[in-house]
Amino acid sequence: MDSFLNGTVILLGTVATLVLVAAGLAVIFGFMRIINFAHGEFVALGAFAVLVCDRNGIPFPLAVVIATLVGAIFGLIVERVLIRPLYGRLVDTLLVTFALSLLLQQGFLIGFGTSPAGIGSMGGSWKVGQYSIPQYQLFLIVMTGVLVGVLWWVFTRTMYGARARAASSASSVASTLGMDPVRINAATFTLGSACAALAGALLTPVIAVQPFMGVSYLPLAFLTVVTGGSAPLTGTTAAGSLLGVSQYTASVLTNPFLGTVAVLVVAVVVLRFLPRGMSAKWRSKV
Amino acid sequence: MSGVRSCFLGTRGNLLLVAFTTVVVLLVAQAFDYSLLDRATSWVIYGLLALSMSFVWGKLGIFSFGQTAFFAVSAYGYGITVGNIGGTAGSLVGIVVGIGAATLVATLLGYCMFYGGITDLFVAIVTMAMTLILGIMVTSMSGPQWKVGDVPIGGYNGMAGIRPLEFGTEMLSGYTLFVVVVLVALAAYVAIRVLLSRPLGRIVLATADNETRAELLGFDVRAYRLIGFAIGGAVAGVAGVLFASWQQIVTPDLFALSLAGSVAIWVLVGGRTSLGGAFVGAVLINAINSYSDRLTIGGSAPLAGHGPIALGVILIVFVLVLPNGLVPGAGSLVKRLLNRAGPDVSDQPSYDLKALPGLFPRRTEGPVPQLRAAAVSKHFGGVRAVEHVDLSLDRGVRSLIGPNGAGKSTFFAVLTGRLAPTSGRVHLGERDVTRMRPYKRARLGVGLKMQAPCVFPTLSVQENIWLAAYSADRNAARATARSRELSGWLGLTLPADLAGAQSHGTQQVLEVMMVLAARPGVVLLDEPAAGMTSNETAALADAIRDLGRERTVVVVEHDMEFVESLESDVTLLVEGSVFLEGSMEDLRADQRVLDIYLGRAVS
Repeated sequence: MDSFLNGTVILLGTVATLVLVAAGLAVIFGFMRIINFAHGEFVALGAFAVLVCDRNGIPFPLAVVIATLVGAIFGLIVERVLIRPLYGRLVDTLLVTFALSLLLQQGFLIGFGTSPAGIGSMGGSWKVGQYSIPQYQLFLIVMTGVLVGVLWWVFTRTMYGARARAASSASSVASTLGMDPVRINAATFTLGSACAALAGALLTPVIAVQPFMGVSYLPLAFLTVVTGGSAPLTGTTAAGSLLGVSQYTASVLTNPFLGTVAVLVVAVVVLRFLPRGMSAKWRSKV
Repeated sequence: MSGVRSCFLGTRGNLLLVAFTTVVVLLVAQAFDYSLLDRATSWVIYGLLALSMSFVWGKLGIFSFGQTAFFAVSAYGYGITVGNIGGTAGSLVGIVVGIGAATLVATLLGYCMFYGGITDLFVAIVTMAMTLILGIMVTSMSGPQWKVGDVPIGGYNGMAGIRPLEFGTEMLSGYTLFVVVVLVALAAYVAIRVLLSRPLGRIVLATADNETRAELLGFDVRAYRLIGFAIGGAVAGVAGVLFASWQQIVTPDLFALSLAGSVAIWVLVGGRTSLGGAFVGAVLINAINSYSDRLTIGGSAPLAGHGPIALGVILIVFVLVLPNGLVPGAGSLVKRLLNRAGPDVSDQPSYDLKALPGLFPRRTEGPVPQLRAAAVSKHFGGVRAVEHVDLSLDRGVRSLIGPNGAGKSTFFAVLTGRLAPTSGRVHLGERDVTRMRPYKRARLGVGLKMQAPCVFPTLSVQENIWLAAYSADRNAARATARSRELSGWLGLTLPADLAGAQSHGTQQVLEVMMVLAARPGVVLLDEPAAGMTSNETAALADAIRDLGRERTVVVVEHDMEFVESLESDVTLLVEGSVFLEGSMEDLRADQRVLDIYLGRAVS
């Protein structure tokens, strides 16, 4: 029982981390068909923002809010300067965001140096039999649920969400109906950037923050989004669960190395049979 | 995409320039000191890696982040082999193992992607994820248990002490290595150029230009993509062997995103559509990086270690300002200076459509098989585009009419295999072809002219016809003769006569000619008269009647005068179902038909 509970928390933690890190990428890809190659660096940006706040004595909850805002503002600027001129040129957008990721990495490097930093762990842990379950792990799982819930609400219950879905399914129709796809896309990119920064901020207590940390999140986030398919929220959550379970199971049965391999293998097999992702044939488009 | 064409019919002058450049590089390099020679060797190897990328990206139309993975796999494969087998034999086996491993990985990945239907951006993501995860795997293979034969993989620290290529008593190094690297690069470049001028290469270019048309001509697009992708992997593998031999240590850094991205940058800067541009981009960017690292001002090196910043800025500038890259840009500049540009607008072609059937010889393939739809339905969600259609199509002309949205084009798509029916069967002769892919049906003799002209826009008219003629009997010489003849009839024989630049009507005629040149028994024509003048329409009707003497011809049209002049049986589709079959007189006598076309309710 104890080991089951412990295993469940670790499993949920693995899934939550995948979903949390992939959410921002999924929003931008799902509603704009844009691959943000600098996504990992947007996550890192959130983490560095929390780090700076922490060094200036700002309490963690406030720091998370500030980091999210920093991500949003940065996303807004990036959309205006780099993304907007390249609408419809998918590969070029990918290359430009790759260039942005190089610049951000070097920026972090110049500003913070190479040595990993952190803000120390948050919260204590609960003793369950011989296991100790960190409270922050549970908090992360809950926060991921909250984030997915809020995004769901935004995209299904708000005017902006309806417009974003309309613009992504038929941009030209949306614009003839008087919507402005440019403004909708700007809002979507900003929202996605904010989600990325929020993920980085929330992960700060449990990771080592360093300039190249984004690179380690990118492949898993990409695979989760691609495996999830066209429905950004439900698809990503489902894919995060499938890949997280695969990773966890393979890690427990063998070693962490094969856990990573399992993610790749499962994702490729899913895509071999469902090339447009798990959610391609779902009714839900959110 | 205009550059796709530039190597289709290779130009001698271009190859002379490349040979001349090679000789100059080899001569100049004799004056290099050791350090510069060493770096220059790596730049050419990177150029070879970039060549594989520009082939896959620029010619195949597939943006792949996997080239560095194939490169690295090959380098590791070579390292493992020469660590276990010494001497010349080891080098030779190492070359085979390295290139073979790279080709194998590319083939497996390509199979999963192209046969699974993954395209465009998803290819970029999947190749990138594979590269990074291979990197994670290799990094975690540290410790003594991870070794192949005598050679430890080395994990994060990489595999050190790799023996360079050796032949007889000589280990390749210094100037000799440089010469070998340059000559191998030249050979790979020439090989790709030759490949692209052969039928295989032409078809590969065609699949990148218009996948649908390639499939409808009977080419298995997935297979050609896979072949092209595997060749790209092999070229990256060649570069990997040379790299391992040059650096004598390989590390998981080769799988890093920065290198994968750098290759894309080299290709972008040089120009993705130009194979030579790959070398220009790789050498230029690496030289800039190398010198900016060494630049010292007052004893300090302000730029050292910040190469990625320069890379990032260069990449953004090129994407936003010069997306075609240096070499194609320079090429068009030179052309403008020499004023050799071809005529901007080709002369209005003059041809007599009545002569069209005479250009296509009598069928020799035996009787035309019957194409039969049995209770075919095609639903899109709740929309019943085609509903329970039974139709047997035999030799002769048949017109398929109906108001917009009646399901005519959807029905054609089901017949050709571009859409799978929701229910019902499609038979061709004795065979059930319901689940058969479009290219196979095309090979069995089903040809389709699409509603909107569907040709290879960036290839010349002659090349378009060549591809169609080649699909009929896979004989390159006959296809060349045929394409000369037919493009001559159209009056469009120049390489500069791009199909995409022709008028709508000419593109329609070209597409009809391509369909016929593939020698189908069943010809499906979706609105062939759209965009034609009334004289052309009349001539086309004569031509279609003539074609119907020994083929099955099905014509979808809205122009009732045209349909009438076909003197054929008419099938009227309404809301996805067959409403009426008969002659034009029968239809005209039926009040309901008039009601349908005037939008009145029909009881």
